[in-house]
Amino acid sequence: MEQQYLAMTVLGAAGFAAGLILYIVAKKFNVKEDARIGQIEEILPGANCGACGRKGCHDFAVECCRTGSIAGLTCPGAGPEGMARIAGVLGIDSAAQKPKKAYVRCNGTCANRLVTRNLDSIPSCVAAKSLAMPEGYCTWGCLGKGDCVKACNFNAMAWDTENGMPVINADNCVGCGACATACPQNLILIREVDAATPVVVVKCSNRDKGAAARKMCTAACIGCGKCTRTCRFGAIKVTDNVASIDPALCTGCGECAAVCPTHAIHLSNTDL
Amino acid sequence: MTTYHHTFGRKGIHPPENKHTAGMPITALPLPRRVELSLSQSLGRPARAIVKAGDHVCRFYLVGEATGPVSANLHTPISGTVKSVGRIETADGHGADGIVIEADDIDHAADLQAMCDESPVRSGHALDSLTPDEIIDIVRRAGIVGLGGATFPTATKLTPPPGSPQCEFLLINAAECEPYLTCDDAIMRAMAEEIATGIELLLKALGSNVHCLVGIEENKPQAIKALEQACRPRKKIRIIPLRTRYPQGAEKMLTKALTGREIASGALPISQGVIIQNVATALAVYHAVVWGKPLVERVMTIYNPGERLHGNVIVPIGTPLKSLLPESSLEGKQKIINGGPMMGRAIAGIQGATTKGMSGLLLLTPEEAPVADSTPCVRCGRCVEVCPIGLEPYLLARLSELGRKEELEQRHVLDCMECGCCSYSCIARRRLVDWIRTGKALARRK
Amino acid sequence: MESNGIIVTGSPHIVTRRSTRTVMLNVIIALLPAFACGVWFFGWRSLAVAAVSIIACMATEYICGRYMLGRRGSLRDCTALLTGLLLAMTLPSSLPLPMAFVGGVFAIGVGKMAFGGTGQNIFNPALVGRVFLLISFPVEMTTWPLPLSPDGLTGATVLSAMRESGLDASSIDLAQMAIGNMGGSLGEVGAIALILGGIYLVIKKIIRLIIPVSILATAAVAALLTGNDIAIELLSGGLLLGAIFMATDYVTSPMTSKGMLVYGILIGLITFVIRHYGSYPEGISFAILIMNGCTPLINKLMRPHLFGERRKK
Repeated sequence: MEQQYLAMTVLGAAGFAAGLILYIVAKKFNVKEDARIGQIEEILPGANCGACGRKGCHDFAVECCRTGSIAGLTCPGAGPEGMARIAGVLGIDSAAQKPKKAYVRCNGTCANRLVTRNLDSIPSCVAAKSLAMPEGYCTWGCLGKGDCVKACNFNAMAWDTENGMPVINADNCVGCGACATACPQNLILIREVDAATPVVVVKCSNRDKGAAARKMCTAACIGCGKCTRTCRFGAIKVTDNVASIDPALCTGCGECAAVCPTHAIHLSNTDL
Repeated sequence: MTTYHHTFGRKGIHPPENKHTAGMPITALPLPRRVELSLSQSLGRPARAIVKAGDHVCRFYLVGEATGPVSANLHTPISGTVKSVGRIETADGHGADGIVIEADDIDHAADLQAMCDESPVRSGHALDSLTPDEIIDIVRRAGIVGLGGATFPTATKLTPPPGSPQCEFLLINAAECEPYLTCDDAIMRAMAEEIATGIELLLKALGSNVHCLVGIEENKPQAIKALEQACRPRKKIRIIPLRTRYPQGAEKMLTKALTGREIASGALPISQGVIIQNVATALAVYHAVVWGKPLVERVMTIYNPGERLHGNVIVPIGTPLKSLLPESSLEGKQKIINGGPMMGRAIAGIQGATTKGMSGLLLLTPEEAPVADSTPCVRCGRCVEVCPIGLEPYLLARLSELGRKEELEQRHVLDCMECGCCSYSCIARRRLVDWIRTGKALARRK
Repeated sequence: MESNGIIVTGSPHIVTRRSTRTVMLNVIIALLPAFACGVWFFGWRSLAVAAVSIIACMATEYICGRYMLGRRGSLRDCTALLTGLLLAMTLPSSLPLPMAFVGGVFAIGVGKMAFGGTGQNIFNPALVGRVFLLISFPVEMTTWPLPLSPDGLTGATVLSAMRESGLDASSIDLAQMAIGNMGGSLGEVGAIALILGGIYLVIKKIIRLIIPVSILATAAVAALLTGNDIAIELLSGGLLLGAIFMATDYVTSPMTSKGMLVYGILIGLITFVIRHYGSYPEGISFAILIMNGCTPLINKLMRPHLFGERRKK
């Protein structure tokens, strides 16, 4: 019996002492943190994607509180509403930010390409880019190993094995741009969207001359300029044999897409 | 008698040598009817075309001009008419700006010597009276680049940046550690005297206190003998046989094997007082200075057993690959490799033309160049054991799969020279070098 | 378009002939002499134990791989076969067969597949299986049949006899120990056969000498310093089997030479401490498992020397 009491006393005392030490240490080394950091972190998606240019969500929240403003700070994951709420936490006004989405400027599916290559033993797009390409293979387009899909933190990209191309799920996409950075071909366009106007995208990045481009891919932009002439708003320019659309001028009417001989221009609602 | 020869340490590998074309005589090709000269044949900036479509050019004439210190002149190996200046097909399928020249019949019969007399590179000096600057100038004008594969402009290498340490050694890379390749071996056997003169010219260009060490792997005994004989009267040149070990031809490894010095991460060889030139470059320097011939051809190994062209061949730069490899020889082959099997690049088909940096064209069967599926890493540590730089390839590959940029930098991913020892030794057939290449791109990204 | 059969991949384009499968098969070949010793001394029942253990391992590998990890063909690399054989080598030949089966299932299921399959496990699966059995069935796992006894007599191993009944070291016939005529698990008794297997692996460059030599040397030095008999220390129990075949397992041992040295020395030391001061007569299994757990840390601390980096004095 005595031994039991002894054990209880010793263990109890040891436990109490340890607890005391923990208490003192916690008090002494307590770092006073701005309560708002926690609140902001709750609004943030917590993916630590780095799209804001900070090391992670916590870093972003700390930066918000340190500067007391959200000027120059954008979390694409939280979106405009999220940023507005963060502004609310900080007690300031937020100018409305438009959401952003990603678009792939290539439509080089297996069916559209005239030459495809065997990618089985190549692990990534970056590796694929440095390798030799077969004669007549489009060197500008999608490399087909899905570095963009791997880079996506929001489950907004999927791989379409049949087409050999990524598919963007616009509902999940927050326009963080991680995929655009990951793509060695610089194929992914991040642009602002607003619900009222459909997004018009040239789904080709081939800068070779029209005839050469057409020999590589049936869906290539051949730089014919028909879209430029059709557009009533002067929103389309052809540079380096590829058309590009100025989102500021584009109204989303879709007339260019209708006249494009190779169907290289897509409207976002057909694009999803 | 077995002698113990130096090498760069216990790292690296010794793959089957497969030097089947060793000992085959060097054959010269007839001049091609058409050449496709890429303007990007050296490291650095591409040359600028100084001819236009319709121009007549004479053999050895300058058609592309260097556009900066790290850029090289380009000359035509044939006489003829410029067909076009613009985008041309390259062997790697990426395309490049280039010049297409088609031969006209008049000059085909023309005597080589007569052409040489008109060559713009021709110095007209007696060798002994040449000053270092004159030699470097001839090398620059002749468009000579490092012929080992890196194609760094030789003249630029011979003029180290100001403030560099004094150069003590000129190291001649005759290791030819890549399996299959035998072009350096062939030129050393056949043209030892010319190479020795070329080395002497390089030495002269570097100044008076420089000595030369020639590193040759011991699997090339005839080449060692020939060069030793040629260099006997030349006191400043020493031939050093090296134990056969891959990647001995890499700058850092060769410096370590020959001098025991280690070039630090990111440093130039001159930081350790050495300058490295390939043995084929020395031969090109000889041709430029003594014969006045610009770099318009090179010896390369064509490994295509059973075909007419198989062995060591003098190939004019810009020869379309279609005239070197008949379409029929692709039968039963799995890979076409530009360069050696360890660091060379696989090409996708018979396309494009030869370049200054192309040291070999190997047609390999599925047995010779197997492509197998990767299996899980069993952490055997062989990649760590063989990595000549002392990296941990298994870890770098994993980090790059996970996209961990900072950790990749901490683990020195950028020091990797992609020699391929790790992938070669991997019993799980993992594509380590491909992943490390991906990781390097990631680490370089801002 | 790629109908010409030409494939483009990154360099290098040649690869060693050796693969995971050939390496594992070579280890199995190296184990066979010792296994044959076991069969010779302990009879047909050792074969049955080994067969059950191997079947359990391979079946677990197949089922977990196919239905949990969604991987096919993981049996092809022969790692499960090797684990089964290694596990059997550490079992007494009299072990009831269902127990051997449970051991095999645990070794692969918990020791390996739970971590994600080949290459992902932290602990040597065969030893995980053995230690699991040792803790679950202590009586059966420490009942050692005597060699060459047809009537199923059992006895103690040299180590447990020395511990429990104060067997005098000088009364042990070392020559008999070397050829394996002693009580013990079915694979640990044939010292000469084990060493032969080790030499084969080293010559074939499958394992490096560092780990086995550092383990054995540490154990010998420790025995010398404490006045124990070196030969008995080295020949008895599973030290040789562990040092040559278990500690050198690729997945769970360090990558660099420096790391291997530290790993080996610590295994030798821990084994010695457990044997002489712990409550178990044999400690190599625990020592290896403990050091398996330290391997990631060793890998982190013991980096290879970076080329061109100044060596610190």
